[in-house]
Amino acid sequence: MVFMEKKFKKHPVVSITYKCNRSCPYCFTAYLKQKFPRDMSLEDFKKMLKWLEKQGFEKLCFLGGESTVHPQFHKMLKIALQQEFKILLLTNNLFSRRILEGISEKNIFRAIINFNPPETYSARELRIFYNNLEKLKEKNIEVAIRFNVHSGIKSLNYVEEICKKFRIKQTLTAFTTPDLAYSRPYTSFTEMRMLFPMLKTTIENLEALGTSCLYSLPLPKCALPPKEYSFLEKHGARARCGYYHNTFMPVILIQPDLSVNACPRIPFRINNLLEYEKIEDIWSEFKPSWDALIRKPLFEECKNCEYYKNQECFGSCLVYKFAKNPEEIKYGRRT
Amino acid sequence: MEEEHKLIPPSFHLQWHITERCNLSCKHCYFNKEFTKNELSFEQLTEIFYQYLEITEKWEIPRENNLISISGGEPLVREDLFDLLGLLKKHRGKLRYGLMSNGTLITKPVAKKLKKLGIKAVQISLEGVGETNDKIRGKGSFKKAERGIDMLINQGIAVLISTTITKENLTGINELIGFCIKKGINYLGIRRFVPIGRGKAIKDKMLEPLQVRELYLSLLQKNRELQNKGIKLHIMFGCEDSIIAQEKCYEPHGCNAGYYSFSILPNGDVYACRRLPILLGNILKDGFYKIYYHSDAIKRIRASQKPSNACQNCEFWNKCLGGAKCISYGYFGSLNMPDPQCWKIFKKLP
Repeated sequence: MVFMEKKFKKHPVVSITYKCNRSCPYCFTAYLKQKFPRDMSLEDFKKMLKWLEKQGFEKLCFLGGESTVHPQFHKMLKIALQQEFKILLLTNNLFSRRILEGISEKNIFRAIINFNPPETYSARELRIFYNNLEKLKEKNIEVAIRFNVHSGIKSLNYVEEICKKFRIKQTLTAFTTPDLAYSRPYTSFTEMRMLFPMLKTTIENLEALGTSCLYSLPLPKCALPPKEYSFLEKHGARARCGYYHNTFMPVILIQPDLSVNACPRIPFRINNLLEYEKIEDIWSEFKPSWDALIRKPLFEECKNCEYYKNQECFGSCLVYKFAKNPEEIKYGRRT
Repeated sequence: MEEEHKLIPPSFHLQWHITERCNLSCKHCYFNKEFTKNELSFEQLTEIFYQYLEITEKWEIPRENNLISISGGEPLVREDLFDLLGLLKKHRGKLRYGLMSNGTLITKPVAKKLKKLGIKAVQISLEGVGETNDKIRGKGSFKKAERGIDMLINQGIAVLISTTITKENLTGINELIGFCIKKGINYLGIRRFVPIGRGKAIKDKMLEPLQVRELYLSLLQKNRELQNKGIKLHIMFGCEDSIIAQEKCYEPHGCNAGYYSFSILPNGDVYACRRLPILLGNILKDGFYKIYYHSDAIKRIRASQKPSNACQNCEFWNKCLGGAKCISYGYFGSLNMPDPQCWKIFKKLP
């Protein structure tokens, strides 16, 4: 099996906790709170870093839950810094001043901040959010805003407003997708088509402001009409997952107990990271199940689809293939 | 449901005013005898409680983030208060609960009973020591409240003192701090006065903006002194404290009303906060779910987090969000007005 050169390896993703101080309705990791009620221990964190260092990684992505609520978050940052790891922090930005004080551009190289419409935050939260955003910018940490598009959103003007106000240069977006347990609302393809014009206008407006926008999740080719799809494709949307330049290289998600999932949305799992010599061994473990999942058509129509036959589209985000009723992916959930 | 796609609270605080009846008649009270006739029965309280449990369970709110504060009027005048606390105790694995009282009805047997019913902390309202308190809360009320505090402390129940500052008790604050230290109390909450209810009649007793500034800054200094002396008392500001952000020396709390905290009144009416008298609906008629997601009034409150004209160009807006909505609303009758006690905008009350 040919794997990517080390320099192309994606940052491993780690969830040190699944606890969170917010409860976004579309959260795709919320269901993992029950599966992993215990946070990652400091000891395990050290062992994990050692292992990752051996693999040649220098960067690490903190997913969550909300990593900053981990009681030893600061200590973990310090240890990571000592071992010359840099952290990409995915956060809701609602951390306390104490947490903020421990964050610097030395330990956090980039923060991707999830931002929902302001009317979904209490005054207390909004004040903390704005304050932290300002401080992260002052600390010279690269900041990107992530916004999620779903049927509860009637306007995305708030994204433009915050980018303008805080001179944000990068944004990431995606239509919301299901979690593996299908426990929370997600965006159906029909809804995507309805929401697309609003998303397109927002992306164009952001670009006019000098702010880039990356569509950050896989999206099936048939989710949108070709012209619309191609617009999002230019902004990063892709219809394959796990493969980069035909090489299998999924994101690995290290769980609080050091087990590893191929992705937060996919059930393939190994029990203990430390039992593996190399990351390639873990990928090899995942590959057969991954490929079998890719081969499984999302809809009956996929069997006749050229994109699917040519492996240009895997049905995109593989979590869709765990739907009990694939029709709901197209038309929405019937409650 | 559209709104459900956007908002699930991660924590919840219910301030539950089970009665408006009170053995005192404080000048600044936010009640003004509107609900006494329609006080709910114990069965109706139970119905509300189960509705509350159902929704907080649906939202998967963990116990440590789920709090009910039983309040009044004076909750101890309700004969069935202990039955209600018994019901809460039965479900203590799912939520925390506490009591807000004027302290005057807390005798030794009452304190013992509260302890037995799982009460860990009681917030007692005082406006100062001795005469200062009695001028506002009624003659003899301080002595009775002090006795209540002693009884609670003897039972190992934590006491928090809450005081609402007006021109009438401003000078008595140091004496109150001394009282808290003497009693070994750990928390003293300082609240700004909201001119609503009976308090409307003493609107002129509101502190001037610069008095608020001086008060906040002096109390921050006091906190530092207490800490240096190793005294455990901590002076806290209420959730209406965000205007202090302009001094850049303190991180305000800010308000969670209408998102993660609500008030239920003695007749089942629901407000985002007791100090923000905008009716959202009635829990028994409309149900809390409908109120939380679909009440027009709640949507209006949530949408009001935009700068008013006066705040439009303020460099501190991101940190204060226009100050306390309850005070703007109480003073001006509008959510879209600035905080009348903001000393950056007003040198004197407008």
